[in-house]
Amino acid sequence: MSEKTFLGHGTIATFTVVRYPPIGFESESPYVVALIDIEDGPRVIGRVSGPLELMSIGKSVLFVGESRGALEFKLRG
Amino acid sequence: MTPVTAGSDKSLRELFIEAATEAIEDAGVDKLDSMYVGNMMSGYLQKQEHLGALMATAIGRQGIPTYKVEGACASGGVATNAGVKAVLSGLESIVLVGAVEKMSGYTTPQVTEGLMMAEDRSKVAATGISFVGLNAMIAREYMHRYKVKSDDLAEFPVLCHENALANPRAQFHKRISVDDVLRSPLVADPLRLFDCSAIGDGAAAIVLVPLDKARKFTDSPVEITSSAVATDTLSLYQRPDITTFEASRKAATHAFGVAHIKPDDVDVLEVHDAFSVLGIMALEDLGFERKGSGVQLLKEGVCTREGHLPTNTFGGLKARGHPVGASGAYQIAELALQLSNRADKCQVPNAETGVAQSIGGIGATVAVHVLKRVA
Repeated sequence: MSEKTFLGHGTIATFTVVRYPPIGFESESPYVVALIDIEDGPRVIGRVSGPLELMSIGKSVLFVGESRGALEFKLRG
Repeated sequence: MTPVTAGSDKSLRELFIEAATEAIEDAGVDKLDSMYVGNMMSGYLQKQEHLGALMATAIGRQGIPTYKVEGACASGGVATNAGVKAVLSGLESIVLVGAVEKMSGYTTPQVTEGLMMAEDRSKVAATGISFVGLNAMIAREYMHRYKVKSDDLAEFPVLCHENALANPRAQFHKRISVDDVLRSPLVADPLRLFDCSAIGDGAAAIVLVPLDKARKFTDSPVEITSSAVATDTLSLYQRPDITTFEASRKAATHAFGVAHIKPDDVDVLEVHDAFSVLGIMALEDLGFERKGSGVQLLKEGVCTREGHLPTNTFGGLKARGHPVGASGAYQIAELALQLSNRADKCQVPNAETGVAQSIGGIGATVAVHVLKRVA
């Protein structure tokens, strides 16, 4: 996606917490990356911000934008 | 095969020379018609490409046609497939397939970034996900859907470590328990350190000739009865079901079909257990168990060398080691030893038919080989 795309809401299909990041992401870990099923839309991969302990399969997320080429979401509720 | 180690001074070139020389001497061949070099990360880590010409020169065979073959962590399996096709084409008679990887001596973030070359740089790597993280996403969904626990998955690395005790070339000679796995630190939740294969260096090589010429060189030829490669979408997010690798199913169906075998006919199995969950999934995708029930085979004890489905008999990727681009070739070399009764303390009695599965990226490339002892 080369332009800012409004994805709306989605559900976490699965996720992980990256604790050993690749180059360039070291200062950010631990962080959550998830496969997200967009409501009435495709499955995408993106970062999810929010408390680690609240992350789980099935949780609702909201698209917040694109950053450095990656889709960013936040936990809803 | 070189021993798999981490932290040695051996260069990429030295590792390859060691394995290739051993294979050529073991095969008793003089000339080579061509060479296929499997490797994933030499360009990124060693800043060295053109491995076909480099390795031919290294072993004093410059002049012959050579090819670097890359399929991420399936490079060894895919290079073997390329070598098999060369022999079957009739254009090349004596073919060396060698696969090598040197991963140690770099920082963890560097190797982590390098391994992400197996997935999509623009959409996926951009999230900061690691390769372990991608497999962890599969593990989480697998455990959720099939009600399997981390301790169930842990049985796979436990088996591998047990088997590696008898393999002098294995990276690890340490028995581990399910508790050890569960107490090891999280790398990318829910995968822990001992769920994951380690960084390692190594090279493995085999010499291929047409079957009807094999007896010129050895009294115990091993036939590569079939060799199949299949691909799937590059990225995990593009798959509707992430608990199965379609490419594994496709390659296995093709390879088993050409070899006229069924899962029951397999005497020894080498699967790509880069992560514990992949070892379990392999048992299912290759047809040995129903989807979601792979752990039953481990619990029943049938995957030990004494059981009816000896699996990862030299320690697999977890304990023999996983120098990524080389692993697929280690599997073929190990099966060749099994099927010619030269596996020493790793020997499975009366092994006649072996299968190897080598996975590249997130199941985006899978190579499956069937080997048989020739009477």
